[in-house]
Amino acid sequence: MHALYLTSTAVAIGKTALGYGLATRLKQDGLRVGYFQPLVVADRGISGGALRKDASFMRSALDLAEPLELLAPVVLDAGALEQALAGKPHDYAEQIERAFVQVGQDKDVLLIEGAGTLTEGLLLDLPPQALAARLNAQVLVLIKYTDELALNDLLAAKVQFGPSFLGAVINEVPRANREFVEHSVIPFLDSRRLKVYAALPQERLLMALTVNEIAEFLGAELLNSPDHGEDLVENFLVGAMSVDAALSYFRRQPRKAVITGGDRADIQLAALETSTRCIILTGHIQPSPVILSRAEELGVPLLLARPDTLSVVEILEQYFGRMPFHQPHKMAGIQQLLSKYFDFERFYADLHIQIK
Amino acid sequence: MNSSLEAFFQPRAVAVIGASRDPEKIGYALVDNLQHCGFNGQIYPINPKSAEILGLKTYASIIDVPDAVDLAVIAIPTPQVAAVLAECGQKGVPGVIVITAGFGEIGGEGRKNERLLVETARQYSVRLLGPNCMGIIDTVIPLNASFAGGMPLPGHIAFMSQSGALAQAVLDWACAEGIGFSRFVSLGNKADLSEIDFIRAWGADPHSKVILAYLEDIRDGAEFMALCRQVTRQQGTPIIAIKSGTTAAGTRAVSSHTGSLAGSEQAYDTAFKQAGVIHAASVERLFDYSLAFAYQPLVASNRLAIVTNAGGPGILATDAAERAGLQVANLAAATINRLRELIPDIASALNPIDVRGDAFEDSYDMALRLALADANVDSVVVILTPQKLTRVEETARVVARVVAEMKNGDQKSLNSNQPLSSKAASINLPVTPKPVLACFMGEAHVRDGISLLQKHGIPNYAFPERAIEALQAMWQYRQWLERPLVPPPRFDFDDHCLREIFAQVRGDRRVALAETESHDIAAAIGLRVPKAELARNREEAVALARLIGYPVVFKIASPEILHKSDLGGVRVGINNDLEARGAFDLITARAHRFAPGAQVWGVTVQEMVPPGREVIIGMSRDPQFGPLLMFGLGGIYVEVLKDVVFRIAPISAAEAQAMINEIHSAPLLRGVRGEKSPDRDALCQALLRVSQLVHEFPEIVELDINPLVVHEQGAVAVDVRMVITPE
Repeated sequence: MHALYLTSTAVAIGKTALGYGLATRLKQDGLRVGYFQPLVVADRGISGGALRKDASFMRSALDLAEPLELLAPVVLDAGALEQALAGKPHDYAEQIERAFVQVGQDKDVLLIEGAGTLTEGLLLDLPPQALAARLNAQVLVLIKYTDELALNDLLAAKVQFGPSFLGAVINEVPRANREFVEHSVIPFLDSRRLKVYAALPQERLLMALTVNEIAEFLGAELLNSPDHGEDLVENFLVGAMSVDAALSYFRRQPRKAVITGGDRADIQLAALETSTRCIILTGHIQPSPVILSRAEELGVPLLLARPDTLSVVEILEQYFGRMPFHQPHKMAGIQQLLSKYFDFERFYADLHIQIK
Repeated sequence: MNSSLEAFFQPRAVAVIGASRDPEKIGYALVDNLQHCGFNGQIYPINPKSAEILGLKTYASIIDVPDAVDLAVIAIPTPQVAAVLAECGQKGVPGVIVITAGFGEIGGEGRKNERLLVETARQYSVRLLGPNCMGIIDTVIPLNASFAGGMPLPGHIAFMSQSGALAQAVLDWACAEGIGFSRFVSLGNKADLSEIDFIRAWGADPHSKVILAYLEDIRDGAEFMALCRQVTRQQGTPIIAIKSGTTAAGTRAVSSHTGSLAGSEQAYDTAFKQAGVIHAASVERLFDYSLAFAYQPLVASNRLAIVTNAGGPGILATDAAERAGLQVANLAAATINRLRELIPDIASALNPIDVRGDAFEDSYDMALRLALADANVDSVVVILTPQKLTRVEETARVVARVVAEMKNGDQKSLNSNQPLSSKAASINLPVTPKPVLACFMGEAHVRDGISLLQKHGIPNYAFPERAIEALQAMWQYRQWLERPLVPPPRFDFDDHCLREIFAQVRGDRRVALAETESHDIAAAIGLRVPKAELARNREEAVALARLIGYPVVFKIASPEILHKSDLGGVRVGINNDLEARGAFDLITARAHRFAPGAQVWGVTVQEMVPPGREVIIGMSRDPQFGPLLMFGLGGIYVEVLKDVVFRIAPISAAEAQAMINEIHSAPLLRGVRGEKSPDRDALCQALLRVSQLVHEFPEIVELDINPLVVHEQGAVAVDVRMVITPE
């Protein structure tokens, strides 16, 4: 059994997406693939089942039989952290190892969703490199391309993981830097014996929110077209200008949510005229019935929200690009991206995996 | 007339479904109107609960009517309309008017039900007017299949209205004003029949001399334009339209009313102009213009004579004429001399011709005849103010007589018992009639005179400005008729290159083109663009600057920084390596300081385009009419003075020239104060090439060339931006 420990240099940069993409590809290639999340670090104030949402998603996506408590054995919630700070360490390592053995049975590859940062777990004396070594896993590090300086993190990771270090995946490479990354960055890393399996381009689709998610965050009511609730919204724009200006403005952003007042029928129609995935009507003003019908015909949900426009923007800004990965559109998107950019041949060779 | 609409224009039998004995019901008004309009075909009231309505045998269902029915008018509760429409189809009724409301205009279920109506009508090949309309009135047949308050007077004006209530008010007002109609239709929700069908039918109608339209939206802008062009040019029927909901607030009102995006005022105004449609700014003007068109011959040119008995109104008319682009005619010397000879106490024999406040009708008679006889005059406005000695009715009578003589070309067929004076008889009226408009000012004293004028087909306007505006509309139409229609030129573009760029943009899930992509497109359509390359670091920038050749321009290259110069992201006139290095550092540092977090790709090194006249060519795709081209002079002329003109693409070479000439600052494009004239040919070419591009590639929804620098020879598109549709 091969254990692959997946970690990243920062949170919310696509670890679960990459894990899912790799796992499904390995499955397609005829391998028995398992999933394991040794340590779940809880956001402050969250407890219960919602904590294991990544594991829960992977469990159903990969059709795994093991119970959730086995796939993600340790959850670090506020209580556990307090205990650790009080100097009452729990022997998490033992617990993790036991679960790991069980989950790894009858598997060719076990994908371990590791730490969200390179320091996560230090508080419990369980830094990523210790966990990876203990589980005898090879480490794949995900970084987000910001500029050349991001490479420092990657070089540091290589040192940190030592012999466990397998290679890296660079995510969110802006279009303009694609060539530079390919022709300068990757050869440079190669010369430092740091393997890059993929440089994935920035993909709006993967940062998107669904219409239903937006409705949920805003506590908004979906007025029509519930069958479009899972459509992905890649951008959002505020519509508060004259209708002539609105049309030009709306055309510049595809697959967007438009935020406007319920009484701005002209803006709503301009939005419907362009590529729009939903319209968020602020101030809790019902739209004109004629517009509601038009939106229904076009399959563009109208969301009736209570907050004002500014508050809606603030709420959405918190969530965009930081949403857990689990919509069907995104799932297909990451698979396509990997099949186009990920060097599976080299990856398999390095892991000594034979594909039948 | 269009055969598919025959049922509406030549019905022999009309059924009223939902006929009623209750005088407070629409079903009663419909039958009553049909009975009292002079219609001599069969009328079949349909109502399962009555045996007889208004003395007519009543049937339980349309199916039960023994003979063929051409037209059915439905006024029953909304839920039953679809089923009854299907019955009409089964019965083989070719035309149906649905008066009933509660369909598309209320949204939701109503909209679905309206679609059902359309499907049913299609299934049985029934043409459908409405729903939610007032019906149809025709003074030619005659027929009144509406619930309007009465029958309008007969006349030559065909009128369609998207608002039934407005139409009611207008018909009532017209009746009082003595204005007559040939045909009238209330369009309602336009589920099937729309303005297109009626313009087509009326364009070929000998009884309708002018078509009026009150519209809130237009179903198909391109078809509307093509049809109006044909009707106004080939068939010679003028179309005057008013489009409501063109202001920002008006748009909002129309939007929530019709559920269609109204489109900008510019787009409508431009589309109307290019289709030969006269755009009226108010309902009042709609009728002011229509009277001139309906009752007077079209002006041959714009030279106008004014005959007045008061100086002030004559001057007002002169001012208005000047503003309207009409010429106050220079009368021929012979005319002036004869005016002085025949009207010895004339105040002014020059135009405006002032016959004096105490003038009787004979002075008006002479002055009007002499003005009309003058070859320098194309139209006459007769102004009268009711002064103490003025003989209003007698004056109206002589005006009517002169107009009738001119029309009939026969001095004997007079509609007056007054014998023609020998002096008057000695003046030869023109062979081709010229339009005469009256402006009898006042109310109580002139009322009878005005009625007399109207009876003889001479439109009267309360104030001189309104008469002048009506003449202006006629002159506009005359110019339209005489404008040569030349097809747009056709250029060879590198279509393959264009499509590849679009595919690449969409592949990246973008819609806005990068600067280099936009420039590649400009180059592919034959525009000259400055040489430019991306430099990712300082030394690359220097190397590129050398390659392109100093002086060069540096611009920050970042997809997130749109207003580059606002952030100090543009440096022009970089002359050497030293300056280039400094500029690179400065620009990138500023970008990081003023737009923290923005992606910076580097700097675009661009050939420095020599100064010239800066113009803007833009395009925004209008939802109704398509590519709306914009042209103006760059900088403050566009931003502050809004000195821009519009056309809907594709345009001909003449239209491109017209765009260039129409901006107020056009003289700047001819070279002023000893400057050499910019290359207008190159500018014209650029407009035509952009026009073809946006016409042939509907995926381009926004385009901006700002600026296009026009030199003494040639022009360079310095900055090009484009947005395409995502799919």
